[in-house]
Amino acid sequence: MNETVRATPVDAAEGAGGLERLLDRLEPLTDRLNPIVVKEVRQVLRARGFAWSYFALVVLAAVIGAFMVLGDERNPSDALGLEFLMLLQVLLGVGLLVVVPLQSFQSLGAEWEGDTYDQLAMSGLRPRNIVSGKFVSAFVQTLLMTAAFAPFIALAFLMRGVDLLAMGFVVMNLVLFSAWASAIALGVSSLTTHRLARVVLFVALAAALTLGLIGTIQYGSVILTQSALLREPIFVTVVASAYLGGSLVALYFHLVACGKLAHPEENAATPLRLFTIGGTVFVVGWAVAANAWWSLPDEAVDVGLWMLGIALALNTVLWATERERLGRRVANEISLKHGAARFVPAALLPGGGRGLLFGLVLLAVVAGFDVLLSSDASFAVDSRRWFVAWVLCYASFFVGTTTLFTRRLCDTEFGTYVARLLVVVVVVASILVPTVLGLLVGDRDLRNFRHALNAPWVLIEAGDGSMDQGLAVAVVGLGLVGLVLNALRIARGVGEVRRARRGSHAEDDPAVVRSRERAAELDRASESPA
Amino acid sequence: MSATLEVDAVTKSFGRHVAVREVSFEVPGGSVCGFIGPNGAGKTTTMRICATLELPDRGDVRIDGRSALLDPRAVRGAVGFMPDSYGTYAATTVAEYVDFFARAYGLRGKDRKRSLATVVDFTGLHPLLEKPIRGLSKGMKQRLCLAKTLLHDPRVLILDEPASGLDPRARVELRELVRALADMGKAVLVSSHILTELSEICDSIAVIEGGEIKATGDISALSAGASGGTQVRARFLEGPERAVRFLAQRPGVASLRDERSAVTFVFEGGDDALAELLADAVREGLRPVEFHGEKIDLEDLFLQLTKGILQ
Repeated sequence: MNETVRATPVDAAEGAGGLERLLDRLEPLTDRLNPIVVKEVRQVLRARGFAWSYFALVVLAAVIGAFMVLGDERNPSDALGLEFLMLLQVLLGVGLLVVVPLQSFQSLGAEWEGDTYDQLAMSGLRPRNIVSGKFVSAFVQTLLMTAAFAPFIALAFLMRGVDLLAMGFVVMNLVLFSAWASAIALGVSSLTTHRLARVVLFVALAAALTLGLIGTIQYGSVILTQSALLREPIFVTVVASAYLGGSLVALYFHLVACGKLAHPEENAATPLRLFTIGGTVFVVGWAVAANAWWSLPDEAVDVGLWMLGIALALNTVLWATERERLGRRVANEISLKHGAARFVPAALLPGGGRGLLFGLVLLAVVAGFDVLLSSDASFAVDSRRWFVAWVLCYASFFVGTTTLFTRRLCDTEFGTYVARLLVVVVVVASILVPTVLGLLVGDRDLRNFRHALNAPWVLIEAGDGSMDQGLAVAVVGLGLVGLVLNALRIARGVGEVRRARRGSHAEDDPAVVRSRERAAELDRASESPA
Repeated sequence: MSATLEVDAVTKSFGRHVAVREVSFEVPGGSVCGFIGPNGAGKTTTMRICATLELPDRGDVRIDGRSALLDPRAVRGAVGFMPDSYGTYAATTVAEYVDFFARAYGLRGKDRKRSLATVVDFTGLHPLLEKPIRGLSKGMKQRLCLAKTLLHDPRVLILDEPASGLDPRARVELRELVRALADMGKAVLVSSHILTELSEICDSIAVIEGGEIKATGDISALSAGASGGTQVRARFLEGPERAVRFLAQRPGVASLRDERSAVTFVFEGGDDALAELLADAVREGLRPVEFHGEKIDLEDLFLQLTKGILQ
């Protein structure tokens, strides 16, 4: 493209006045900025939906504020500022926890629906640039809305009855929750490009965000009315723990979105698995440290580990329903002589069998920590310290056996969703079928849903410390069945990685052999002094 | 150095449906290759594979020897892909749009400005820079998309149906732009349903049907190979039956067809032999009222090479 260059408005600033010259000088700084952020903010600010919501909320806040100030003269009240702030958190909450996250959801969908995604994928932008750009843009919208409400928040403080710390905490909560919700919305939005499925996801997300908004407002009201809580060390530690957990969940959804946007057959699995390991280590480390030094209650540590175990079991469904074979690109990557991917353990690489192995190993590690760190003094079968171990057994049985038989479905995206749904169906059927059987044979326990295949009931029993020995043996048996049935699948998955490392996977494709030869020729040519 | 696009035995299935099977062809730098085939033949899938947007089940694509399978990022940096259906950010202006993509391609500072100026100049977008994209015509949007595709100065261009929906003037302009790009040394792979358009800009063609390549190479060589001669339409006062009886016995006459009032056939011989055939017909008592011969064009060639298989 060696054409004659003509001046364009892009560089017109060179001959312009002071401000434009200054902007021109600052332009190199914008080179560092993620271009998606600029594009998204520009689009959002020009979109009617955001502008209308923004102005409607601000006008409503102004009108309410004016009425309250005028009413103050007739009915003076010490709590007027508090009442106004509570109303403000509802209005700001609608903007930050509903409008902004739904806007994020739509911004990703718009790339597919508007046929612009391929163009982004072909540019130098990586999936993480695209997702981060959209996330930062959502955060900018959050800050813009918060800034617009700042004068009203200040007015509420001046109207008396508001604790400054509680007020700051509530506003910070809204901003933080908005960031989480936007990250989660982007992750959810990345799950499918199918229009109907996206409509269902949008409605579900809107409902979840509305529930979240109600919860946040109630939480904020408690903080505003009982601001002394913020000075309680236990409250601070529990809240800090919950916020760290929430941030990890948001980061997880961020990585899910990055993985879903990756080029076909790129290795999207390993980063998510590495993050899961890091997140697990962090949660366990935090629980230990907070318990030892910052007065985190023993029960909170127990519940934290149980929730971690259940989250890992749910994730095992996702990992075990990945396409069984290594993608061509991944297989070639790990067979390259100097590629760092070569040294990645098999369980961290994509593939259903390897995913199941990864999930079960990680669950076993958490189960070990649960046993070691539990507040329960007893080591008997009915001890609550075995909770995650039971989760591990159920994950092995339900996820392992179901995905073993549905693994061929996972070659397509639609089949993968079906396979995941079937895990849920099998879990539900395992609760109901023995119950129906109990009705037929007249077994009281079966009839009352009290059997080893009813995982939720067994886990509630375990959490209550009322697990009996027979039940425990049955659950361990189920776990072993899942493991034995999947032994060959897991061995095949590990074997495939070993073969890929030897490079033997590609030898039957002459085109790849030719590509390797050409690549070697090019490397030799670039190394030669000429 | 001129770039080369090599498609090497590419196969791609979607579920049980084989979209392309063992597709191979090559586009040397400085040339335009027309990629033609009926709807659903596998053109777009092949082009998306060349653009690294799909990974083939078998086979590979190389650009200047770099493999899309082993080094996809390098290949992506060397390819400009203009899909058949593409979107633009309606709320932005032309200048904002191209600037966004220049940044997305990683162009910085003066390089970005230089690239923007060159591309805007080449595609003639200068007067439109401050206009919002939603107000542009289809032809102008096509130019804008081409400008975006050229920003990182790709060595290989893949244009999927770039002329569809354009008015005649915009088509001519696009044709000139494509030819100019090839003259810059780029390898251009372009698909189109408008075969007369392609015949004017392409140096070679690849014909695909049912996911398989039917023919590939230079247009004139393929025309000669496919028909071996001239498509002739003749009408005689004596009626087509007698003409068919006469022509069926003559050497060099193939694909003879009785079309009610006239006969059509392919004559495998030069102009002298064709003139001699007409003279013989007159000597035999056939009185011609129409005798028209023309070389096989791209449309005829396409019809000869494909069977209308729908996937």
